[in-house]
Amino acid sequence: MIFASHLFCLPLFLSAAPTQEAPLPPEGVQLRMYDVRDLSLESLVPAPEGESEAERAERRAAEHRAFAEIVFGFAQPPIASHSDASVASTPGGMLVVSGTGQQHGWIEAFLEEQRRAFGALYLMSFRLVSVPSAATEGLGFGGTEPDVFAPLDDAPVEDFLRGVAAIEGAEVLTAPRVACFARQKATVQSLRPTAYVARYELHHNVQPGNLTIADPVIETVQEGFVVEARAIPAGGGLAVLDFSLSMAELEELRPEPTPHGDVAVPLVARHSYESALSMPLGGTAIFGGLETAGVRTYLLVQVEEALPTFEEPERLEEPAGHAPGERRGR
Amino acid sequence: MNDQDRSPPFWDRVQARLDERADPLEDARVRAELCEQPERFAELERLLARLQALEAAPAPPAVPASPSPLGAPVRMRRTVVLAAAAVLLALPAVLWLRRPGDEAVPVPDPPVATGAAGAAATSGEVTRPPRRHVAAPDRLPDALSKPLIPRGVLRHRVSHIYEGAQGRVEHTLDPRGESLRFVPFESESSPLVSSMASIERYRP
Repeated sequence: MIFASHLFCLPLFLSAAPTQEAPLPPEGVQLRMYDVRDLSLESLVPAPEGESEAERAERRAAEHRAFAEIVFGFAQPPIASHSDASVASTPGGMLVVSGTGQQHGWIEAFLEEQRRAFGALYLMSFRLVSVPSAATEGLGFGGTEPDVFAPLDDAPVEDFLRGVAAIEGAEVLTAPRVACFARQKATVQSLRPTAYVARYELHHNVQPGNLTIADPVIETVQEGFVVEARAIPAGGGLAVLDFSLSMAELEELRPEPTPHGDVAVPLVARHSYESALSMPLGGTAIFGGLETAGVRTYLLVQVEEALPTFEEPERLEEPAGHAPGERRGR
Repeated sequence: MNDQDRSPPFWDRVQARLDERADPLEDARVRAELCEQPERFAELERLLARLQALEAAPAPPAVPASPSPLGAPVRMRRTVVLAAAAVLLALPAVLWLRRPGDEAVPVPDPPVATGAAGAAATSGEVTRPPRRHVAAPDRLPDALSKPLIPRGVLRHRVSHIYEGAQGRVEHTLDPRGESLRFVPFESESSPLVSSMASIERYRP
């Protein structure tokens, strides 16, 4: 009986045993919609005075688009890595995501983190250090990519600043510290215009006397810096610092003689950094790698700890008949 | 939720998709109507969450063995007998295939019919409510304690532009490499495209 049952069952077991591991099919995408209206910064940031209804709607839509861009830019695994995945936003505040299960899982956790950090402030600071190239030996940080340090292992940062302080001719330019809410984009600019005669325009047959006069055309060149930055909570004590920094320096207004008089040619040096770093709160990133005219320029950026706002923002408690994210009147 | 929100086309479509055990969000018209009236999303989300909870709920208790007018015990007894017979037939083969060298490898114990109660518990799965297909993404269980975005450089581009009398020189560095371009200022005497020069050093 037992032998007979062996004969009966054996073929079943053999056929059930896989002889070769079949390749997994590519993971499909699912479309899901996320209500992110409760993450709008509208309740934290006062609306511009005199804003029309149309302008307000456009501002809201722009904020939703920016949120979709953040998700698209930073989702793990990247949205761009899957040909069928996409992220879009509706003007009403819905995030429409076509993504894999892993991507949806990431988005849910990301939204949870954004809700946790809603109303917190992030402080971002930028320092530019200019050092004569000949004196940079020993400072390090000459690579293309920035080095990121956590607060606990920032000894190299202190060594670097100590080394810079000992160099003659080194300059440190500290931009104003930017404080803004999570995901809020801040813009700080300090520009100084300088006017110069760019060319002359000839006007013929000017009466009386059919004169020809050369009219100087005045143009301006801007000197200073523009910082655009935002901090995005990333969980695990990290924040993404997404920023661009542009600097312009007027090196010389070179005079050029013309038949009608001298004009000036501005010689301008511009530096710009566009970067996104996932870095520990309180940590520092050092950018090295820009060397021009015998000067190496370093950029130090820092995201300091999130501070709670003075007043707890009013959050939605879901009363019956209200959709999630809908805010009550103050 | 008022009657207007419960307009038949939307919710009928949702119900029809659910009856097909499909995800309502895969229906293009459902999505289109959700975009137009996002407030419906909340209720649909609640509905899907309830279904998901139902799906995840433990199996209901097995049907008691006492006779009932619906005749369930008769089917149950037949199921129990068939299951027990299958187990008895499979058991020797399983024991024969478990050679001594395989002892270290954990092998799930074969189901053993210990009587009517055990068999009924095994067959209890049959009485589960029908499974509805609802998209259930993988959740990150400890997302807030672990970074959602790995530490490091996500995007990086540095450029230096020097503007002179004839044009500008752009020196751009990013993780792929660097490029150096000269872009002349456009004028009648120097067409822009023909005078442009560049050096690029990008890693493949």
